[in-house]
Amino acid sequence: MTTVQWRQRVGRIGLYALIAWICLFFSIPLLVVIATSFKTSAEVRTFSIFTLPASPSIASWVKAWAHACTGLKCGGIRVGFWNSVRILIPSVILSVSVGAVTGYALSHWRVRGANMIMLLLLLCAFIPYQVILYPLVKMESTASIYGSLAGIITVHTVLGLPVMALLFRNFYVGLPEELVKAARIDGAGFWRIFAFVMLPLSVNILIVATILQTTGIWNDYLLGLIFAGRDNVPMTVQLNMLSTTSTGEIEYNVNTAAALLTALPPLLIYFLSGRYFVRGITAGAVKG
Amino acid sequence: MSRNIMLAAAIASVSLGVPQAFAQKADVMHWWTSGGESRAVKVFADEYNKRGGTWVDDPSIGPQAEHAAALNRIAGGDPPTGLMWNAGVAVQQLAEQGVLRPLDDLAKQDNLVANLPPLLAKSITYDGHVIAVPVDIGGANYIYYSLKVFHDLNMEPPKTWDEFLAMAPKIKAAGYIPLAYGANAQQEDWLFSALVAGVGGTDLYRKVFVDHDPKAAASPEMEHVLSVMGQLRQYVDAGSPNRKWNDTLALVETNKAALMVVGDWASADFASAHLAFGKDFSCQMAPGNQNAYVMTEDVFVFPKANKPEQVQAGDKLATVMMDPAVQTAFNRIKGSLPARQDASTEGLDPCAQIGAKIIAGGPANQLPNFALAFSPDTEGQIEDLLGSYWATPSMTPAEAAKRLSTILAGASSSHMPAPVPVQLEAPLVSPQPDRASERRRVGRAYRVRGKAARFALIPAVAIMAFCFYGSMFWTVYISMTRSFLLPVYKFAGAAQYVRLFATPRWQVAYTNMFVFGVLDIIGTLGLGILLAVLLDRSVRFEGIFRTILLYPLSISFIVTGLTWQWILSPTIGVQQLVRSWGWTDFRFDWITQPETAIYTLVFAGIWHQSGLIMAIMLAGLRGVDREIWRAARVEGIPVWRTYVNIVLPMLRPLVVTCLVLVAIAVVRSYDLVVAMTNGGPGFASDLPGKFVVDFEFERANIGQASAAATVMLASVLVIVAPYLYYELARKNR
Repeated sequence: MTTVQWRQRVGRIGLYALIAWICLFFSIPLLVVIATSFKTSAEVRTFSIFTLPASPSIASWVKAWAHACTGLKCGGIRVGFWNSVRILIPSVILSVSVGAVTGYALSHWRVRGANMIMLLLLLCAFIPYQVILYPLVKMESTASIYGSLAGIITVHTVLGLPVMALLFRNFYVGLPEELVKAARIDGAGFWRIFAFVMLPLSVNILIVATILQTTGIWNDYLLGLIFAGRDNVPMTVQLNMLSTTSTGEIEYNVNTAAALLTALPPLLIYFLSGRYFVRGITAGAVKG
Repeated sequence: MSRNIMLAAAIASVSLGVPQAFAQKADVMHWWTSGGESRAVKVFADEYNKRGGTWVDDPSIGPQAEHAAALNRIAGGDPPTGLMWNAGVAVQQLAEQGVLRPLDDLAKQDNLVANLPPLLAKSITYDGHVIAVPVDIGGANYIYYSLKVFHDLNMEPPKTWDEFLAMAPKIKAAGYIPLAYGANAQQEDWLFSALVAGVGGTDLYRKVFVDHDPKAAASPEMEHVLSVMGQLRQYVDAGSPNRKWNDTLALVETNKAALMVVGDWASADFASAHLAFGKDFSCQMAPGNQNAYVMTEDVFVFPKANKPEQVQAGDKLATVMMDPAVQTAFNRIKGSLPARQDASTEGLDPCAQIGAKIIAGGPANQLPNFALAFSPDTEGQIEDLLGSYWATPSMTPAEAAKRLSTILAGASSSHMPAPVPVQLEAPLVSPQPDRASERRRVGRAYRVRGKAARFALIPAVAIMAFCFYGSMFWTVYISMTRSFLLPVYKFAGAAQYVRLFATPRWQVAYTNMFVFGVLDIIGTLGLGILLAVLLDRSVRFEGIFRTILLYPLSISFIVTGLTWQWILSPTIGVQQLVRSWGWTDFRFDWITQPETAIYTLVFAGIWHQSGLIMAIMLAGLRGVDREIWRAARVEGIPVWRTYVNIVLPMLRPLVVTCLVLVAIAVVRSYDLVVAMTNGGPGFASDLPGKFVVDFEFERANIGQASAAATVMLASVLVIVAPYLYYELARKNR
């Protein structure tokens, strides 16, 4: 082999070694948490979390799901799971619908001020929630929905609007204008064109938007903490309460199992839908 | 509103059948939810129902939740009949807002004020009016100890702090935790009070807590108190940071710790753990506190009501709570003392009885706790100081004393009274119907085709107008008023900002944003771009690598934060791993050290976000014209130089986008720091996002929270505005 080939080969090996090391850094947290969650209580107490479970047991998963205590209630993390599901489904449907209609209205319909609305929406996507949190609480309590399921769903819909609208608007702008023109000549109006021309073409973007909102809302902590009320505490909030409450011994095996249960739905979505997830995340992040 | 109408209708329908016999409904808000507490509340409820009313129980989890809900109801014109409030200066501040009903007639009728200890009498009076009803007295300066531990060691519980410091090494050597302590604001208060009274004496206590004397706070005596506090650090266990008090008490209950400094409310906790006084545990005043009773109280206040039936319900409720016999019955279960000194002490908790004797010794023995002594704001500042002193062994007692003195010097001016009574039901954004409708009319005339589209945009525009921009301007405006517990609308200039930037906790949080931001941006962008370049070199198994690098993005910041907290924890994480390999003196305890805790957030930040940068940059790299690569190869330019000098500069707009994304994420950070360090130790790893939420919902200081939120907003605009300008200019070109 020539020196050039040698150098290339060494370079390739170095490349793979570097990527492998970085991938190790990325996967260790998940592996550690999985390993710890299968340990017994006795094992967790004595060893570091980096060891493999000596006698794997699912006891801590059962406890985390059904019996772990947060404060006085010992119903396990499943309480938060079902709360999160109840919050998630209407929130996703509403925010995606409002976003799709708004994005559509801003794309092929020359509404006056559409560009201004776009710019203002774009700015909204950057506003830290902390700036508008208190007024939102006041508005919701005036409407008597603060601290209820309706309250948290409303907040998710409202705060999801900018990103959803921009996502759909950018997609619809990319569709040929002739589609809308042709339908208009045939006498179809705004809503008919949306329902029969645009929606059938929107399957991909709907999947992307749904995944983006599902992971976003499932992973939300701050809004759930403030708006959901004590009967609808979402899973992330319950998980944090569970993990930071330590009655004497900290049950790392139960806490890690609860953390994994909380992370499982978005992880499943990611592993099952990879391409769409990445598209949503990058599109949602880049915005416009 | 509709609620009141329904109530009125219900009352009307009942009174048709039986005139005069309608039940007075009392909607009572409180945060007594533990077993013993809720059984005690039932005493009030039963008595109220017995006297012909209807008690509607409205408990919240913790005072913050209750305060937020109650203030919202008051501001919304639907006040509860009675509500529990933090005792002391907090009540006066609420009265200042003009929302409380004076109870002078009822108090006079029941001779309330004359039968209270002077401290409490003062605490429920505002501007010459009685504005609250105290229902119990607690003592915060007890020690509760495990009889088993002291029996095993053949020791007597300490009578002075010096005695404790002498016995603590022996307790520790025997494998017990000498002092059960959870480093959070609440337990800081208890320990510090017990130390000031026990080491410095009641005179020093009075000077600091009653006279707010800055000189006493900086005195050598106070330095000595703080140095004793510092020595106690070595006698607590590793699980101490942020541990709640009942979890800390569990250490004594399970005989793992010798004693805990805690108030007499601990009795109820022992009772619910089925442990017996005198057999499993016992109590006495904290060391050196034999003639000191650090007094706490629980009070109810009665917001102003519009309807006569609400007023009547409030009167009845207040009368029930003032009744000496009811107070005794209540406190038998609650485990504390009746607020009224003419109430019987028969059958009360044995630990509380010890305190009753000290109270009976006269006002000289009666000391105010933090809440009775300071405004919530000053209390918060002192707690922040004590927290960071406890977490920072390198801070000298002299320095801590000096800072305490500074806080006290500012205490009198710090509390910002609201000069105007609060406007109830003030609209957030005043609608301008005339101009809006005119615009709508003009639009209809010119563009008929867009009608449905404009109709479809109404929700979006309304959401933007009210929820985003209206709210934003409201917050910015409130930051320029003297708002405190409730919003007030009188302009007051930059006072909130002056105060904000003089607050040590904000200074730390704001500086942290830059420290965390710079490192996180460099790390995330650096690693993200490196990964994109590596994967761009047409590697095999790219799909697998991408999957591994991107999965953190799907995980919530809460789970991310908890996971990294575990990995970096000195007791179970990396430090423990390396030590198990034989390096027994290896140290990696950044997360528990105030100087380094903020850096640990960077690990988690990079781990979570660099996949996103990789994905964005890889898409950009794949879009680079193949011709450029061919040309570079022909010219003999090495691959790495092609990237650094040609390809990456071409992708500069994408890099700028990534930079903006990560920078915004830094400003908005909240969940991550909550899960990883909860801002600690002390407030060493606090960030603006957490500062705002804490001040808005826990400290109930809307003015400061709004000022801090406005600074966050300004930071975001500084990042975003040039970017948007640049992007729009690029698109228009």
